[in-house]
Amino acid sequence: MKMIANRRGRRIVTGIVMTLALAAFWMPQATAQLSSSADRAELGGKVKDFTLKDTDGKEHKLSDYTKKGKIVVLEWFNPGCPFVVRHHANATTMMDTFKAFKDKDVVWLAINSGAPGKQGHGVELNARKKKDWGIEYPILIDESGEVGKYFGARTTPHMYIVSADNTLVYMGAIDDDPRGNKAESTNYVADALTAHLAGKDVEEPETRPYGCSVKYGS
Amino acid sequence: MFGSMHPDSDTRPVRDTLVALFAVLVIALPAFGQFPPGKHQDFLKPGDEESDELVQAELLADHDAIAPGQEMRLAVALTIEKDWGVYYRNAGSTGLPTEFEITAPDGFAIGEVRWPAPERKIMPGDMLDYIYKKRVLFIIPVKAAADLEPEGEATFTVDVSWLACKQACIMGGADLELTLPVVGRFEQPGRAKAHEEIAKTDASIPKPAEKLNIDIETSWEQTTLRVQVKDADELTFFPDPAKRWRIGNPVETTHVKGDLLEMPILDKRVDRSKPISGVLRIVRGKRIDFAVIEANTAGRPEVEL
Repeated sequence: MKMIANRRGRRIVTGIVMTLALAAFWMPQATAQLSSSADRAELGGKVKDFTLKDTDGKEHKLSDYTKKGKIVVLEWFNPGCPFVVRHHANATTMMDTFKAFKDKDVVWLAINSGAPGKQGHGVELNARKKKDWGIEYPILIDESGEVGKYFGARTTPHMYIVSADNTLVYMGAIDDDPRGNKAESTNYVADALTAHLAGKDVEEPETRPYGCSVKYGS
Repeated sequence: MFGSMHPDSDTRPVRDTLVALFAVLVIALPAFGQFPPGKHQDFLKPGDEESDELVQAELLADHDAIAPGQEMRLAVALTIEKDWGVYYRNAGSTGLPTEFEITAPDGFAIGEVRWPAPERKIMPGDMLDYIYKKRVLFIIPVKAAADLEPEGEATFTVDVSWLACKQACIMGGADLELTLPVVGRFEQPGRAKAHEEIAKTDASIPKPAEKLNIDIETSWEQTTLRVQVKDADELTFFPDPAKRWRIGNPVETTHVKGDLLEMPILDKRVDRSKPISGVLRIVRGKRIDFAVIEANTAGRPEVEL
């Protein structure tokens, strides 16, 4: 590489490099890419579009599903949380519900909003658990927490259902059995999907979610 | 260092280029997430032995026997591993409330569990939980029937279940049992070893505001609930579990250094037949009191949020 010998030339190069470095620092990180800056998703209101990458690096945009007439289920996920472990490894609540509705224009996306260094974080770990637990839907990585905070996701799991016209029709728990000790439990998500698909109002559009806290960074 | 005025020399071209490259590496790399990830947290699975070590549970009584017509107190004592916590009856943003299933033999009436005031646990993402740390006693009032036969023994059982969390969370529980002799009406059951601890905890249980002789005023300003306490230096509100209302931005609005709390009460479907209730921790000088307060929602205007 030919060295730049004169003073003016060196200053120009230094300036260009500094500019590029600073531009790279301030460039928005390719993380959540929420398409607008609404504060919080509201039940009964329109949900803002978002794009996240899954554990295979593939991008998923909410509107790519809803504009095709799909209902989208969002499941907040952390493979280190015992409640998530119970619903995936001990029981198969999530996959059973997914399978019951996957042929009915329902798409299911898991989202991990854990920050780097926090429990359950990391593409490799989430990809491994997806395989180990036989999860057949994408796990999206939201390590900035932007999408999680927009939805107000507090626990793992925390479930949301977005209708094909981008309306939030359900938010809350997967079921009414936080301790996993009921002989028969009510699956709120299944009930909400059944009602919505039949054109009826969801009887319980909001329930208290249970689980570990979402491991946001800030 | 950058662009500084120095005479030309043979080493300056190399130095300037290296400095510029270093700047690129230091400043730009974080934008592309090239720093190595942090250490993964290990997680505990339900049923791990660590669960028993995290929380030790005991069933205590304040007397060593019980007589017909007598009132006494049982207590579930949880001793919690350092930095772990179990949850209040309103767990807050996450977690699960501690739960009790209590049985008593015929002839004994069990009252409602008395919960000490919790402490706040604030987490990233503006999340707020209500927890207990170190050691907590939950008081269970018991009354023996006046016509109880003064013979034999009475066995009380409590199945307690909890969620203990630090970074990870783990479910736990214990089946507790305590047997006490039933003595004659005119015998005086002695104080048990745990009497002092139970009495001290019971004295700290939140009381209705009117019994504390503290001037507490609640009022509404649009949909904001105002709680004002004369001469208070610090106020903290621990809401009761509720389905039909929630407090806006609770991390900020349920604690204040001063004498006035202003808490936005959110929900389009506020149940106006029920008050908004909870426990108010009141600091006045060196004195700390815990008051149970209720705010009538009839005063909250019908405002579409």
